[in-house]
Parts: sequence; C-alpha cells; structure tokens
Amino acid sequence: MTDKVAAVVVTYNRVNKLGRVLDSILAQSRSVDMLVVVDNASSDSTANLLAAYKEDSRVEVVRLETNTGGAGGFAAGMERAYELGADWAWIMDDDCYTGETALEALLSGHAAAEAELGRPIPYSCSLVRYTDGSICEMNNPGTAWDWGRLIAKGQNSVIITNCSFVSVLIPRRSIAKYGLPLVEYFIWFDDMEYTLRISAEGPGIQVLDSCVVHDMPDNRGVNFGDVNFDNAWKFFYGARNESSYRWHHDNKLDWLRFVVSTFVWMRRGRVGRGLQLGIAKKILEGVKFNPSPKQVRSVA
Amino acid sequence: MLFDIIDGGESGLAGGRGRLSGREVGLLVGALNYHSLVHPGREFKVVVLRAPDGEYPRLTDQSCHRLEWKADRTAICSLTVVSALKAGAYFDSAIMPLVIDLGGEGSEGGASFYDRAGLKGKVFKRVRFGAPIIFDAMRQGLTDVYEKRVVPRRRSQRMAAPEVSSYLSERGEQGRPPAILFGLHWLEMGGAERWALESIAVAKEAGFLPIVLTDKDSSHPWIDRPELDGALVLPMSFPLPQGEEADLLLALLREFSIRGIHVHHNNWLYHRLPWFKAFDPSIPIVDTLHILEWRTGGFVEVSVKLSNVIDIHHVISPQLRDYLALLRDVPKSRVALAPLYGLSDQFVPLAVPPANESGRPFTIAFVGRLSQQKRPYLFLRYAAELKKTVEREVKFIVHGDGALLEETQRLIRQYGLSGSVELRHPPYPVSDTLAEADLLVVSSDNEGLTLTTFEATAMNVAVLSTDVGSQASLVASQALLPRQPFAFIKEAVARTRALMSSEALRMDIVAEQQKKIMALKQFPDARGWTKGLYEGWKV
Repeated sequence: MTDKVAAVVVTYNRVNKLGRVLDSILAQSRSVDMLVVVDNASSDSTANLLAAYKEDSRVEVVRLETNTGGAGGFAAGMERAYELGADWAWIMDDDCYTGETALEALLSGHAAAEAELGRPIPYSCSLVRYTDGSICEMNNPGTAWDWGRLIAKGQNSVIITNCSFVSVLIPRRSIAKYGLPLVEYFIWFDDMEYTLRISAEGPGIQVLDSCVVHDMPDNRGVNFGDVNFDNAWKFFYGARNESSYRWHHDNKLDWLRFVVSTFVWMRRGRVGRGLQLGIAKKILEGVKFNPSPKQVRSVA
Repeated sequence: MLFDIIDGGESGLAGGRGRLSGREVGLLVGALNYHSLVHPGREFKVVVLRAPDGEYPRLTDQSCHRLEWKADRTAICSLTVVSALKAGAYFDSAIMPLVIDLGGEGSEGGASFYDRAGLKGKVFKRVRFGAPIIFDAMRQGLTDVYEKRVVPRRRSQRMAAPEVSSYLSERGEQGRPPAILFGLHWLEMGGAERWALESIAVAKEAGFLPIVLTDKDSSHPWIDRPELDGALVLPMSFPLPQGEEADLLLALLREFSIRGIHVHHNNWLYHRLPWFKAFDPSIPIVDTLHILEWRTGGFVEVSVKLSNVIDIHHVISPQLRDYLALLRDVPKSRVALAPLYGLSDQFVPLAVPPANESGRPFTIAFVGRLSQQKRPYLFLRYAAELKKTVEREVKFIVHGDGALLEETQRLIRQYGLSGSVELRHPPYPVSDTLAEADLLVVSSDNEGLTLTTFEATAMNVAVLSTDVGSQASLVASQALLPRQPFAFIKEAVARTRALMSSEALRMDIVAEQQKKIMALKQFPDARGWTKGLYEGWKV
C-alpha cells in the first residue's frame, strides 16, 4: 500500500491568502491523500471559502470553537491526520504557497537521507522563500554541526536541528513516539520545541529542492529588539515558552544565555522599561510553566 | 490418534460407553498422543485419575511417571495403548507405566491477580472485594505509571536474527502429512481462543493437519469442540520430564511436514521459535496479537523480543500495528493488520422504535465475560449512579458469565438495583439482548477491538466505551470514556443522560460508529487474510 500524506493547514482570519494556499497543495505533482484545514475559529469569511472545497473528498475541515493559536491548531490538525491513518503530516501556515513539486521533493529527499544516514529522520522541511524570491528571514532552520554531510554525498539536503512550521513533513513515527506540539504554548517557539523534541534520535533535514513561498507582510526574523506595545503579546508568549523549554528541557546555562541575549537585544532596540519588565515576568513564568505533550491514539 | 488401543478398559476410547466425559476423553487422547510422540513404539499401561473440581489436569509433566498420587484423586479406569509411531534403532521396548490425572471440572481461567496465597493474599482479596471501585482506582493509577513511565522504557534485548540458511529437517521424505503448528494458551472461552479455533478450522479446510499445543493449566472445556475434530491436540502440563522437550520437537519435525507455525497465545512455543528458525529457516512463522498489556507487557512484549525470528506479526488493531511498527521499530513490512470484524457486515435499519417514543424503558446493556478485565462491578456502580439521577425508567441488562458472577449478584443487591438489572447468561443469544438495547456500555480496563461493538453497531445500538486499546477505532469520539473508575462513572452518567434526552445524539453516535467501521474495512478481514496465508504454505 502507498503511503498516505495528509497536508495540514492552520488558518485564522486569512481568507485572502488561504484559497491560493489550498489550491497550491491540491495541485501538487505528488497528490496529497488528505488535506486537513484547521479553522482556528476565524471570524472572517473563511467558512464560506472552505465551503467551496466541500466537493473535494480529500479535504476535511476541522473547525475549532476558540482560537487555540498556531500550537493548538497544528496539534489538532496533526492529531486528526494521525487518526485518519496518514503516514505523513505535511504542515504549514495559511500564507504558505507550495511549489508544485514541494511534496514530491520532500518525500524523495527524506527517503534518500534515511537511506544514506541509516536512521529514521524525524522531519524534513522545505526551503522557504519570501515573495520576492529571497530567503524568508523568519523561517531559517538551525543547522547541525555536520550540516553538509548529505551534500557531500550528492544530495541537495542540509542536516538541521530545528525549523519553523512552514512546510514540514513529519512521519507518523515521530508523532506516535513524541506526541503532538504543546497546545499550551499557544504561539511562538512551539515549532522549535517540537522539532527539537522529535529529534531525540537524530536531527532532521531541509530539502533544498522543495520550495515554498511564505507570504508575510514583512520579511523580518524574530528579534526581541522589535518589541512594541502592538506586538508585545506575541513576544510575551515567545519569552515564556523559550524560557520554559530552556529551563526544563535544555540546560540552565542555555537558559541564562537566552535571558542575557534577550535583554541585550531589547536594550539595543531601545525597548521601553515597562515592556522589558513584562518580558522579564514572562521569562520567570516560564520557569514554573512546563506542559506535557498530548499523545495520539491510533484509529485507522 | 498416534497410538493403538490394546485394551481400552472402561475409558470408552475403544468405543462404547465409558466412564469419561467428552472433555475428559479429549484430555486423555491429548496426553496419550503426547506420550506416543516422545516415546515412539512403546507400550503404555495407563492409570487414569480424576481430581476434585477446580484442580488442573496433569497430562504430560513429571507426575505422569510417578506411580503415586494424592488422597483426593480417584482412579477411574486403566488402559493399555501402544504408540503407533515407528521407533528408532535404539529404543527402549520396556512397557512404560503412566499416570494421567484428568483434573476436575471448572478448573478454568487461571489464577486472578487477587488469588494469592497466605495472609497477604487474604488482605488483598478482602480489599479487592470489599471496596472494588477504590481498589480499581488504585490499580488504574498503577497502570498509568506503567503506561507513561515503565512501558516506554521497557526494552528487553531483542533476539538476534538467525543467519542460518540451510535446514536440518527431513524435507525430502514423502508421505508425511502437511501440518501447521498452532500455539494456544488453553482451550477455553476467550476472544483470542475463539479466533485461534477459527484459524484451526481454516487450516483444516486448506488441507493441513493442525497440531495444537497449549501451555497453560486448564480443564480445557473447549477440547471437544468440533473445530478440533481431526486436529492433533497436545494439552501440555509442565515441567516436562528431562529430555522430553527435545524429543517432542524432533518428533514433530520427523513425523509431520511442518509447513508453518502460527502462535496465538503460547509462551512455551514462543520461546522455542528461535530453535525452529535455526533448525529449519524455511518454516514460516506467524503470530497473532490481540491486546497490549500495559502492566505486564503480555504477549506483545514477548513477540517484540522474538520479532527477528517471526516472519509476520498479524495484528487485529491499528493500535497494535502502530505500537509494533512505530514505537518498537518492527519493520512495517512484517506487520500485517487484518482486523477480526463482526460476522455481520450489514447495518440494519432501526427495528425497535426509540425508547422515548415507545414508552418502554431506556435499556442499557453490558455484554461480556464477568471478569476483572471487563469490570462488571464498575458498570453496576455506574448503573446505580445513573438510576439516582434520572427520572425516566431505565432497564439494565448484564449479559455474561464468569469468575465475578457471585460478586455481580451481590453488588446488584448492595447497590439497590435488584428491580432494575436483569442478569442473562449464555447460551441466551447476545443478539436478543442487543435487539432490546438502546445503549451498550463497555467498562473494560483493556480491550482489543470488541466484537460486541461491531454487533451493536450492526443493530443500531449506540456504544459508550472506555478509551482503551483500539476502541477509538470503533466508538464515536464523543462516546469514549476515561479508564479511571471515578472519572468513568461521572462521564458515563453525564453522557448517558444526554443520550437519553436526545435520540438525534444517539443516532449521531451510531452513525459515527458505522463510519469508523467502514473506514476500518479498508484493511483485510482476518479470516480472508489467514486463508490466503495458509494457501501460500501449501507449496
């Protein structure tokens, strides 16, 4: 039996881009077997748009009662994909346009890497471009010390330590073994925590032949120097989540390094004292905050 | 039979009415077949004993060669038989005396976890039966610890894959009957045993002689079932006399053309598989796995340990497939998912009008063995709580039999359910109970895929079930309940109340059950899969 791939898209009030995202997934050269769209309680016309996909038997819409953030949305979508019997979950945001061969390249790159490295690969991600064709600053994966090992063997893939949830192919084994992303993280660092968690037996890869476009408003990476009153809520989640991860699952020295670098960035970015204090509180909150991942159950 | 009868005595083996029941004849024939295999060509003078009820048979172990027995055993007949198998050049031709103890009636089910000797056992039993729900809560807490902390770290060393490619068995010799070796726990009622007997019948249909080994003490009440007619049944009791294990295995390979081994539940045979694989790698080996035992690891753990000598693991649920292939890294190609579906595939239209329309009481059924695993006491506690909180009339049917029958009867009185619970026992048809039911409640602490859920779905009965094993593959997601007893009672009462007040909700749940069963049917049925497997063993 051929492996079943379920694409998982999490959406929240992004009806203008969602249609193009879904169309690009449904037009893949290696067709997806299922497309799970998690509507994170959108209040715009997302439901109307999704109704147009009802005819396609591959599409399943999971409507959540409340907005559970990216973390909750991905956890719900991956859980559904797993319960539907998917061998692979291919996850992405609602502003990610997939190249026509993105999935095909991910699957073949993943298989080639497993054959070469002789171990299971926990996940594979695509090369993420910005709309102008340049690299997407926010979606650069962390590279492993031996990042060029596969390139040396003629493969166009890089060994990586973590990545963001923009076109990531996750084998069923990783979900069965390590569970789902942490819903409690809500937003930010959920992807990094998850890709680090599922890499316990070895790192993942980025398949450079698999390309997607991330249609963000600005092509900027995450930098605590950018905290302001409008975006502070996201940085608060980020500070708490990363502090939690570093304290409980990394090591205390890395936690300290994270704290120092966060304040250095904020000082360099001339972030106000009130916001700095808010970030400090969230960092301390992270020391007490240590959620456990939900495990999946086999249905089909 | 692998022996000739010289003098049947009053056993009835030589025909006519004897002193033995059909079950006892089955046990005696099994014992004599065993001794004839390990002592080919020898003549046996056999004394047959019967034990008090509850005592296990001693058919093949060392005690068969001791010419004394306990005071409570009664000698009921004696007979003379001779092994019909050809002896080797150097064999002992002396007459061998044997004492075969057929045990008593009702010695089934093995020992439960609460059946322990001594003061500790007394205290344990007192707590278990004095406060069944609290005791169960503690037990489930322990299961949680195993599930979350112990099992993920449980990694017994896996048996190394053999590299032998030549074989020692006498393959060229013609005239030996083609046979399949089956390993079973015992021959008594149980889901795994029911399936094992079906597969034995399939082997017979395919032209094989089924050789059925059991390794667990039991009175084997199913030994005279028609599925076993024509099979060579070897109900073993342990420890075997020194050297007889090797004699038995070599005799099986010498006398029969073993075309495959199918282990259902049999620890003894499992641990001899590496020898079989090394002796003759061409003999295909398959096992069937039904259920994950969180506390002990059970047969799944044994199977994983021996996975390198097992060609195919047949599993009956997606949970087991994923456990083996994803969590224990057994190659996917060696895991075959072929569920045991209910025999009825067709969903029937609603025959009985809903309870709230017809004025009849809302009927809730429990169907299954009255055993610790099924937790009938939990169902009764839930029934008592529900009865207190609903105004409508509710009827409960407990359909089953088993070791906890006495406790069940006592709790019905103790919980004030005497007028509301009807106890039904086999052979009362399950289908009749389901035809009356609006709701089936599965309160088990562990399960594979319950056949009763298939049957209930076929009859439009909604199912509330603990979220254990692969029940999530059959039961609607909103009808899955926690395994912990207090949470179970609370949730089950709340959801039953919701179902009683909304027929639409009840039908939604039935519809999801139907949808899940249809999705599951993408996988081959165990019966068809096994038939195809055995056909492949013909060549």
